[in-house]
Amino acid sequence: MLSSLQQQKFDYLADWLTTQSGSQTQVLRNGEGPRIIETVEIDAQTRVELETFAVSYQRLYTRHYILQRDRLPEGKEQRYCVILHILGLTNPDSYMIYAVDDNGIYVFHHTKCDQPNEALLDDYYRVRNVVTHLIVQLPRILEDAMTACQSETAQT
Amino acid sequence: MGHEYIMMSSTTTESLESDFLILKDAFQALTPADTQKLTVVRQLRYFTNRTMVAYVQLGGNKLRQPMFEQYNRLLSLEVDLETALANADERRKEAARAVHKPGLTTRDPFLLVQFKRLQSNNSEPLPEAFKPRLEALRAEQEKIDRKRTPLPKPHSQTALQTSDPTLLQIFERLRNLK
Repeated sequence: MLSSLQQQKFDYLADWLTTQSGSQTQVLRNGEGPRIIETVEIDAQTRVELETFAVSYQRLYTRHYILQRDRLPEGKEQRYCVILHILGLTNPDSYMIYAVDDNGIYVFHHTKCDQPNEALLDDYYRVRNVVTHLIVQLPRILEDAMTACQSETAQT
Repeated sequence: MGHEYIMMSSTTTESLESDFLILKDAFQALTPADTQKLTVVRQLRYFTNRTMVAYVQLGGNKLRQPMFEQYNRLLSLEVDLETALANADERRKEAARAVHKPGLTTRDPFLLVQFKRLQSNNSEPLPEAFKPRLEALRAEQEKIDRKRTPLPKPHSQTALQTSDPTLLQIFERLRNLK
């Protein structure tokens, strides 16, 4: 159940994204709670989804799975190693936080904005910008993770 | 150039277009040194964002795309500057950590027992005396968790969809990592 302020912020962002990129934005109001899903084209071959939904403390939460579970290594040790390597990319000053659950590794951000206004959009577009940058860098990030994990396995 | 922009309060699309042209000129007039100043970039991004949102909300269309492009360019620049500052700060902290490694020092018998069990790969059972304390900690955490809104399951398992052969090949190698 969304609070009145969360509802206002949710509607504001949903209206804006629908106006700006209607064909790439879905606003779901059923199921596990309302959420906005924007599909962002990184290039002609790659696109990602950003999900935004309400969480505790009046906040909106934007999430993107950079690495789904079925793309992680099959071997348990290698899987843990890759997960730890990628979680290690979390910079305390970074805008995004990396996390992991049963579905894979994701990045997320809590909106800082208290009101449904342009600052909320600003916050959202920052997240979008960082995700885009991250996906462009993903081949390098994964290469680094694989190299580090292979050398760790070789040492043990 | 001066870095004080006019506090804009335009209420028509025409006046917002005029405001944007001022902001566009200001952006083009930035020197390379200006583009390295976070406050300058941030201020210009803030006014561009406000102008763009007000313009779209009033139904303006003609300059919507250039406004969005300028806003995006400024935002990218701002994020790059913030990242560079954060990285410099992280390097300073890293250097400080290399000198002093913060750790946990404790005489708490419960924590010491748990460290020992952890080291022995949980081969020793938790002593009975500590069980009530563990239960109390769990109950406290459950109370906190009940107030939290659980995160919903992801909408889709295909959050990143690609036909890029480079990425697909890396995913395949990652999957089969030995």
